Amino acid sequence: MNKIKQVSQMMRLLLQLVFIALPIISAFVWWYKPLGLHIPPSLSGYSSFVIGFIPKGLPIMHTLTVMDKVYGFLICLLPLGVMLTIIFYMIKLFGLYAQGRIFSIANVQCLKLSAITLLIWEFILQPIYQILLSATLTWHNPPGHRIATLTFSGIDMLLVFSAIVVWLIAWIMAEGVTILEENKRFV
Amino acid sequence: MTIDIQLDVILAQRKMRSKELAQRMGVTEQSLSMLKTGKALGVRFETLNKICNILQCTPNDIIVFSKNE
Repeated sequence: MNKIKQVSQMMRLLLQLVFIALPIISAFVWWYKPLGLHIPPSLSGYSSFVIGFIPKGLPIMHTLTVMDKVYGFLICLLPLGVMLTIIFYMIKLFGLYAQGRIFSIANVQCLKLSAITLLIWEFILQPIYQILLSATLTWHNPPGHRIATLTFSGIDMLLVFSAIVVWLIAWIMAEGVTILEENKRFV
Repeated sequence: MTIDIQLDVILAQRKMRSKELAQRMGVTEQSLSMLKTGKALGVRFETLNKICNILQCTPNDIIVFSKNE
């Protein structure tokens, strides 16, 4: 149990750091490198690793103004908010593990809400985000070159599948917790 | 018609506290309290065996069926 608590505490700290760093990095990228921050292979281990929010292939035919960057960052609060929400639930989950609470309704809730958040992102927020971002960034393009894009790729299907799997796991855990609680009442 | 747990009665007769019984049984006081107050859903035979051994009684002494009229 001690090992579980130690590892969980470490994960919780790591996630808290990510929770703080993510908005800062996002603001930094939007302000200084809106077209993408290229991480060199020596640091990333990949020949091409880019941190960015602008979809590949979006035709931006002008230099992004300050307001473009501000609007872009504000629109990116949608996916950022979703990520931070899921990270928040994970921080809570690992916090419970760090207390030695492995099977409880609170744990199940964290998993369930993470899955629901991901599904809300995929089906409601992501379409809004994609349309808003593409329209905003191509607004100053010449007439005939302003676009609003909406995509649903393999990665999105994978995320939806993962969210459903996590939801099912949460449901099974909830059933298990009920059985566990019932068993506790057998002396 | 109810099942009554007469553990408190037997403990009093044997002049033993719940804490001591719990320690000797290797269970928590909370578990024993659940049994005494009727909040337990059931009793394992192993637990009943331990209680009867320690308190030198029979299951009938502890678990009593009463018809409430």
